[in-house]
Amino acid sequence: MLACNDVVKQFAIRRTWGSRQVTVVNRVSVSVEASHVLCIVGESGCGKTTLGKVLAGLLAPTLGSVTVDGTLLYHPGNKAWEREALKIQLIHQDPFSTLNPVHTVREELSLPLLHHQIVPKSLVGEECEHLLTRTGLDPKVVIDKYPHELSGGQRQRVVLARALSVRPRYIVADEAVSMVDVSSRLIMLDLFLEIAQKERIGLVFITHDFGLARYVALEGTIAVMYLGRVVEFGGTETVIHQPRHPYTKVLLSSIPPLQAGDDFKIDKVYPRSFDVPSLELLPPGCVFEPRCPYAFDRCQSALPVLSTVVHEPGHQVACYLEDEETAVV
Amino acid sequence: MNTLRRFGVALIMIWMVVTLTFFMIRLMPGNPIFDAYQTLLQQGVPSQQALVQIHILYDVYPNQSVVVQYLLYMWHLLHGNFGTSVVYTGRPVLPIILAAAPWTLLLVSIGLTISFFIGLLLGVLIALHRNTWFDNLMSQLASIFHGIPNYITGFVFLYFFTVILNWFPFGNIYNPAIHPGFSYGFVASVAYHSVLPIAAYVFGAFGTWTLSTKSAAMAVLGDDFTMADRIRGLTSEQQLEHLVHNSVLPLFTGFVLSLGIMFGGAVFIEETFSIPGLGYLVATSTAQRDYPVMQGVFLVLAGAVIVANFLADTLYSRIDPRIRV
Repeated sequence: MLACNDVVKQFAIRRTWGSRQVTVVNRVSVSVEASHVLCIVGESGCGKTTLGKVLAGLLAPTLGSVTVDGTLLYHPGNKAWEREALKIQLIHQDPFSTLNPVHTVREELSLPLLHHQIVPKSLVGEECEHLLTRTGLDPKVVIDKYPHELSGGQRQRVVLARALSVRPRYIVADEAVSMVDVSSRLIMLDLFLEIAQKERIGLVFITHDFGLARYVALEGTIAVMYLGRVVEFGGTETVIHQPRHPYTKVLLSSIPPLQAGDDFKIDKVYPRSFDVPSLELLPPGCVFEPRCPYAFDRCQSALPVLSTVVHEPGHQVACYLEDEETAVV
Repeated sequence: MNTLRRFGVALIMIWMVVTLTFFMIRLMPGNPIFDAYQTLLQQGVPSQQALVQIHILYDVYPNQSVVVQYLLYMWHLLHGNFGTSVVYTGRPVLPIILAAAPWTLLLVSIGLTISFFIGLLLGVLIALHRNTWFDNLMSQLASIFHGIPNYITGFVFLYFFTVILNWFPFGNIYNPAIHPGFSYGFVASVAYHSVLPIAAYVFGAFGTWTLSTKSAAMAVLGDDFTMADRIRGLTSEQQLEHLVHNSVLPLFTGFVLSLGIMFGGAVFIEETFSIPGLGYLVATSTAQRDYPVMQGVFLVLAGAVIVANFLADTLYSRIDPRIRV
């Protein structure tokens, strides 16, 4: 299981006079089991990429912990965790800057194989070809090419092959298909899912697109993030068909339907404002309060905590409306 | 075909530089031939005889039109004849240039290489330690040294190390008492005399390289593939190697071009330290309006820059696979 517990990530923002801390990820606990899928959904700036980097072992959390199969990552003074962090690989959004322009595909793939001695030296070439074949590429065509000679889809497949080269147990895919041509997006998604299934890899899929999230995590879970916090968490179908948090409803309402009547069967909810508050100046109460169409006085005073919805185990929401409804019932 | 075309363009550029140099230096105020003619007239030489004397002395027909002079000059140039100096009467230009070139190449190539590598090292270190005291200090220092012209640095070095401390010799590039040749004493003397000029060059040049390396390295660090190296558990040495390799690429063209510009010599440094190199030759021949020497030096300089440009383009596609020339 890849899990983060109460993770807080702060960054220092330099100002003319001194610097100030900005909390980008605030007390987030999410987890994913092997061969399961967790989707993290939220708009840009909600901290989902930072959370992905923390999960992948690239950024140390300011507070809280990340564990992979029970081993603690970021163990100060103990370098062994860096080896553990190999179990989690990150796939970036931009397949154009994530491949070194001066390395051929072969060099890119063989470097970690050689360094970690994953396969004997004599088998490295074979392993590279095998990795490429698994991601649906023809090794003969691409192996000696430079990244700029490949298409966006091919690059993203190479990136996937590169991630698989170190035999990961978990893959964090950060907007992994948003820069792939629309026509090949679904094929890429299927490839991700197929490989994750076959290798029993746990997938953390970060996206801003509920449609993608639903497709990827059909059997899995979705965490909706807003301004560094998880505001709703639950099984994919539950979150999409019975959303509880106003923000989730807003996000779902913003999906353009492909066909009249093909809409989600939920009431459209629109925010009061389209301005996202600055992370440097968060509202004192609920972070969504300034935009929430249902906000009432209690929302301005204190932050609601993530708690399980009554009669719906596994579905968590951070909203005072839940308490109100329960009170009414 | 492409190479052929670029070679043709290079030739045309050299011809244009030669032509422009020829006419522009004749537009400068001051005319050595006219001065010599005046002197002869004052000495009481009849004007007709003075013209003949000038022709014999300088191999110039003073009453020729500029166009005829130009065509003659081009004709000689095509035969490898750069003409003869007007100031050093009768000495051909080519040997003068060839005698000056080694000193310049020695000083500037060493200075350029040292400053390039110092800049590369500092730039990468600054980029790795972004927003620390090291970054603040070194970036400021690099900017300051980048801003100080090298004749000031040279002058300060000269005064401090030869006059006050008396650590290094003043002027010239070797001790005139030693016979030039490949002897230990001569080489040691040249090395001893080169320290200050090279240091002055390095101090003037390393800041530029540092700042360009810093921005290149920071761009590379911001690229996702640096992160991809980390997440695949590559060692910091491997990551550093990738960082340096990718940061050097944008600097490469500048470096090769500087190799071409170096034929122009570091004019002020060579003047300050009285080094008989190409820069010194540029300065003295211009001051004395020695037309043939000026033309020759400018031709060599322009040719070197054009060749370097050609080399930079050709080599760049070798080291950066993205570029196809």
